[in-house]
Amino acid sequence: MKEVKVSTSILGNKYTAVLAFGIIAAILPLATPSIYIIHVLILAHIFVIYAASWDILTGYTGQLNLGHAMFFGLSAYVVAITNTMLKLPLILSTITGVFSAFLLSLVVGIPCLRLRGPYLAITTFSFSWILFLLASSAMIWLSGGEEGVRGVKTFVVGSVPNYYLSLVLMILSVYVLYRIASSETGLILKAIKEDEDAAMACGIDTTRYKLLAFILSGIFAGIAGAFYAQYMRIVTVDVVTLELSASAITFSLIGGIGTIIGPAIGAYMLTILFEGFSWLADYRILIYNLIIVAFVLFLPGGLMRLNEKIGKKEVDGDKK
Amino acid sequence: MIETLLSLTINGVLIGGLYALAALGLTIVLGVMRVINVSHGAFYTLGAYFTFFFSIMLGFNYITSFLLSALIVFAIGVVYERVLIKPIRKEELNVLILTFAGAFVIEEIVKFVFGPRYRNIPPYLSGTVNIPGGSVDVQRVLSFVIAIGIVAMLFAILKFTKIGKAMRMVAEDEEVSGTLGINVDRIQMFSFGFGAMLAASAAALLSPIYLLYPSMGWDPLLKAFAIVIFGGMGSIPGTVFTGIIFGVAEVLTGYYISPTWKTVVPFLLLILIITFKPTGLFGGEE
Repeated sequence: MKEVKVSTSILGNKYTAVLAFGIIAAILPLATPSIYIIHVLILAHIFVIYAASWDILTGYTGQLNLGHAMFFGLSAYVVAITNTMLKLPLILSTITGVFSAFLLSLVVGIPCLRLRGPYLAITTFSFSWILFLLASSAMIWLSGGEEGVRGVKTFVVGSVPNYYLSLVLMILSVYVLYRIASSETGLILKAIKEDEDAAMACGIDTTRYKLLAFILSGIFAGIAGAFYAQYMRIVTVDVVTLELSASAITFSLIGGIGTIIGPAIGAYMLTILFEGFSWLADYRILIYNLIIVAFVLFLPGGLMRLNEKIGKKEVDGDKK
Repeated sequence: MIETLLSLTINGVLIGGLYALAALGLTIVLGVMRVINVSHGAFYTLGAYFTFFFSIMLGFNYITSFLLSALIVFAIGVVYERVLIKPIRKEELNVLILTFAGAFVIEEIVKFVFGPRYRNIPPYLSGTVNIPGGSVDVQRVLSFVIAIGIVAMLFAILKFTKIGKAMRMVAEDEEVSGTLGINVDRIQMFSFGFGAMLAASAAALLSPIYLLYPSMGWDPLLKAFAIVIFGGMGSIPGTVFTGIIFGVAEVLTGYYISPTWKTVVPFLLLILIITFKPTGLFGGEE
């Protein structure tokens, strides 16, 4: 209940914030000479989509996905492999990649529909682990292992065009996810998270909505993965690691689970922080996961919630 | 032909016993606390590295290193439970997320302390025993015997001792045990430490066979998950039996299909069972 209030309470200055961000983002490449900064921002855009897509399934619907990298990674690999080995045109590869993430979301989602809690977490975890094992050893002839699949084509050449493309893609994806999340569908997803049995008793076809959340999550992570493949032009085992799955959780927890915007902000901040300060790279996994531990224990609502906590302390009644 | 199969099966059983030991730790924590501990694999890693630290870096003998390592990991498990798990134990989603992150934190600490490179512990016992179709290392047989010994001890503890009975009681019904004067918090803390210790023991026994590296814990963790689900969550005989089956399946796949596929097989089995019978082979109704 409270979450709904949060989104309306920041509604007032939300549009100005989005507008300000849009303007800054649009003129930024003109202002900075550094290709590296632009590269970091492109990665940030990709991870924003990735984090927001995790949030629709786990944050909104409460279906814990511990292996979110599988959607991202499968799509990236499929794009790279179909484009370089089967010589498909990039647009077809991209469609195939996103479609494969969609199929994977069905394959994982359907058995998961009747599973709850730990079973679901373990199943998603195992699926991503299988993908990692295949990419890193069992099917190395296809994936190239650490060497990766090289020579993927790109849609646009150069950093700045890629920057704008990723920006548009990010804004569109976050907008779509956010609209779905704030619609009646989003409310139903939240109801499933709060109490699945009660939602079912209200006549909601929870199975259908859970599958919908799985599919949305898979497709958008797939879009992020496909864009990553064509931008980086190389896909290695990095895209299916457990670390990448964990980073979806870090991004979301720091921003605020179940808000779409929160995970997006979290992904943006952390990617810039860690890609921007390369000496931090060695400690990245450690810090990411310490962040998760700290946020779970002390601030489970994330920064979005902190904002609200300070803003209106008086309504601190119904939860805890 | 038959002899090769027999020899492979024996090798599988020997490995499987150790997998069962690692999975039992998960089962106990699950039964007593109703918590899935994703850090279980990290305790496994710690067990292996402490064994390495005492036996190679400090030069202690293998048995002492094994015991010290198990005890230290027990203590770490107890502290871990008290500081991190207890405040959020009722929130299933958060426990899963926290222990997932906790595993990475432990892994990174191990990486900083011991370095990212592969380590190995030489066999603590040399020599082989002849079996039909080949031979097996004495060490593997002894490790298996120790593992079975620990499992038997665990049974005895659960069956006859006061703390074991309290653990079973808490597993049965937390609230009632509280009203009967059992200190539920303390039992759960103990069980968690105990689970961590079992992971560490399995690691200490397996580390002369496999290489050590900081992210070594994920594979046994996921195998333990698969075994626990296959064996029906919370069932100890089911866990032991499934552990052994998994060991055999792995060795057979490694020999007849390909060594790189053997690691994938347990998870394919897991996905099959989770799709068709999520309560496991030995589990009852949902």
